[in-house]
Order: sequence, then C-alpha cells, then structure tokens
Amino acid sequence: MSIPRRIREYRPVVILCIIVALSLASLASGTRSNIISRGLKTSVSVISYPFLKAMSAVSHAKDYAVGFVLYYDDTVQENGELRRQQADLLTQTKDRKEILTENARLRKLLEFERPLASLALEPVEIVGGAFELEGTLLVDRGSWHGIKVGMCAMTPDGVVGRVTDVGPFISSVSTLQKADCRISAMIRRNRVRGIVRGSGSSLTPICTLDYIDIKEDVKVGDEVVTSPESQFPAGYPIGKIVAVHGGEDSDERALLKSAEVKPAANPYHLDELFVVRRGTPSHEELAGAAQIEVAPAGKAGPDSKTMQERYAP
Amino acid sequence: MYRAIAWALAIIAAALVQTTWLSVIKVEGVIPNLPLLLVVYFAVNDGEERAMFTGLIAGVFRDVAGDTTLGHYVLCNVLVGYLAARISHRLVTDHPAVKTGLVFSAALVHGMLYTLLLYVQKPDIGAIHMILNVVVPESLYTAIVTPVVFFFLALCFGRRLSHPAGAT
Repeated sequence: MSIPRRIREYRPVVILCIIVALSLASLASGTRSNIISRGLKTSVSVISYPFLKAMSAVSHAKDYAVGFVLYYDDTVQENGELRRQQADLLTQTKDRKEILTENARLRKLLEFERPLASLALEPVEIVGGAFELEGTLLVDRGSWHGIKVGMCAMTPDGVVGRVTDVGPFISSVSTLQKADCRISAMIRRNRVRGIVRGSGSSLTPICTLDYIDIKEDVKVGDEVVTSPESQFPAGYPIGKIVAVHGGEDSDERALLKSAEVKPAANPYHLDELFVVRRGTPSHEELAGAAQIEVAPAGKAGPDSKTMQERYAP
Repeated sequence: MYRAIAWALAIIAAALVQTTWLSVIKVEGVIPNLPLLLVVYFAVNDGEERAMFTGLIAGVFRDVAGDTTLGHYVLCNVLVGYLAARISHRLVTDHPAVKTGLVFSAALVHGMLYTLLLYVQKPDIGAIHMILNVVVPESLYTAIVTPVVFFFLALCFGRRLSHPAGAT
C-alpha cells in the first residue's frame, strides 16, 4: 500500500498526531508572547469586546432592576437618612461660619485691648439692642463689676457712647444716637475742637459736631476723634464728617458752625464693646500708649489759642 | 459550505460565551464546558476529524483568552474529541442518558488531562484537590446541561443526532 493511500486511510490519526505534536511542542516551549500568540490574542480580544460590553451592560441592567425591586425601601430609607445628615451638616456649617465670624471679631477686640492694658478696658457683652431702646445699649456688667456712670464705651472701630445708668449687673450705654450723649471731639487733621452730640433719633445714625469756630477749616471727609478734654482717651475715632452747615455763604453774624458726623461704630451692629474703667488716663499713660495719637511736636494746635484768638471776628 | 460556516461560527460563539457570559450561570465557582459539548456533539455526529478541528479552534480560542500556554486546551480538546468519536461508533442508542454519560466521561477525561498537563508544568498544584473540587463538579454541570445544548445544536445544524454511517 502506498504512503499517500495509507495516509488517507488513517487521516484522523495523522491529524491527531500532528495536532498533538504541535500542542506538545508549544507546551514544551512555554512561550506565550510570540507573534502567533500575540496575533491570536489581539483577534480574540477584538472579537470578545462586544460580548464583554454586552455582558457588562446586561449585568448593570440586572443590578439596577434587582436593586429597584428588592432594595427600593432600603434606598428610600437611606435617602432620608442622607437628607437628615445633609441638614445636620448644613446646620453645622452655619454654626461654624458663625463661630469663625465671632472668632475674628474677638481677635480684633483682643488685638485692640492688648496695647491699651493701662486703660483697664472691660470687655462687656451687649444683652439689649439699641434699636428698641432708641439708642441705648444694655451690657452685662454693672456696679457689681465696678462699672460707674460716665465711663466710656468704645470698640476697635471707634467711640460708641457713655455709661449713663448702672444697675447691679446690667448697665445702660447711651450711644451717639442719643441726644443726651455729648462728647468733646476734635478734627484729626487740624485739631479743631467741637462737641459731638447725638441726633436723638434711632432712624438716623448721623450725629452733629457743634461749636465749631466759623473761621475754622472743616471739610467733608475729615475724621473726627476724641479730644484730650473728653473722658475718652484722646485720638480715638468718632466718625467722619459728611456735611458742613454754616460758613462763607451763611449769616455773617454767626460765630459758630456745625457739621454732620457719621459715627465710625454702628451700635446696631455690635455684639461686644469695651468700657474704659479708669476714665481719662493720665498724660504719662497717654504718652506711653503707642496707639494714641497726639499732636505733632512744635506745631501749635487750635486748642493752644486763647479764647480771644479763637472767637475774634 | 453553509454547514461549515455555521460550524465555525458555532465554535467561536461557544468559546466566546464560555469566556464571557457563562459566568452568569456559575454555581459555586463552576461553569459548564460549552466548547467540550460542541466537541462531543460533532464527534458523535460527524466523526473524528470534525471533532478534532472543533477542539482545535475552541482550544486555541480558550488558550488565548485564558492566557494559558498555547496548546493546553488544544491538546485536551483534540484528544477528547478523537476518543469521543471513536467511542461513539460503539454506542447503539440515541437515548439522552447515554449522550449525557458520554459527555460526563469526556469532561472527566478532559479535566484530568488538563490537570495532568498543569501538574507537569507546575508540580506544586494540588492535583487531587483540583480534580475533586473542580473537574468532577464541572463534569457534572456539563453533563446536566447536555440535553439542552444538544437540542439547540440539533436545531441549528438541521438534523437530529444520529450515528454516522457504518456505526453499529
């Protein structure tokens, strides 16, 4: 029998032998990264890709459907719980913001108080609003704490007012909105003197700087500060001039003019303030306080003029 | 010609399903061996050559997809296909139980061959443990799905299972 005929007769066995031999050779070599293997792997991955994507989509759809049917109640409960947590977190966030604001405010007060330790500033908390009391603030310190009538109330922004009534534990501070609050003041730029008087109205914060010599130079925008004659430490801001009444076009016989002052500290926006325990500090203390401005040496201020010079026509 | 194309497509589809979708019906980590079912089906219906080529294509696909050394599944599939075809010549019944038994035996032989080859390459594997915990359950699972798969294969290839000419 010829070899080709024999091969045809035993073709399955021959094929088996060839495939087995090739497989064993491949297994014996153990290589996985030859060209044939890489090509086959690429082909298989390309062919498999749609199947894998379809399987992934089906799996997601199944999970979604099963979750929707079986875990609907759990999801609703979890959603409610998450909403409550979100509400709690929002509340905490608001509290945190409030705490941060308060912290910044207290830092400012602390930085204000440190250099003025000689003035014995007493930090007090406002317990009663200014608006409903028409310009009077109730603070949480009284005679029990050493507060006395006439003490000055101020903030880092500027003067607030004066203590006008003292109870055992609570005191009243008349702000610059009260008509009976009068503070001796001067203009920082040229030290022109005057008296700041409250407007007497809770509707407007504007107060008045009275008794200004008709000849003095007073402009809108000038900063008004406490004068050395006042019970306040000298040089602390009261406000800025927003309007001037009287002057060149007014009655020539008038000796005085006035100006409207917008206070630097708005009493309606305060939570805390300082009460100056010791009243007017001594000149030595004032000289030692770096924060307190005094008139430049060698320059005579208007307060050095005689009464005749100041009011002469 | 149509039958040859359908045959090739069926093998590739079976290998694809085996490596992708069949994990959906996984039971305790065991899935049926779909390409082996095709190998046995074509061994019973078309003889050794068709069974061996079925095993070759399906084996190459699984070797590549499974990142095993090329020839691992090929050798197992081809040998099982040849043996199944030889044995099916001796079978005298079309009863599903006989075909299921044939598939179970083929799956067992396939699994043992695979384990043997793996053991030769990596002697530190637990061969007995693997046979008991993977091969036997997989063979049983494959045998269980045999009637269903054979039914659909018979529908696709247009004729019921029957012995090739000359079988006794």
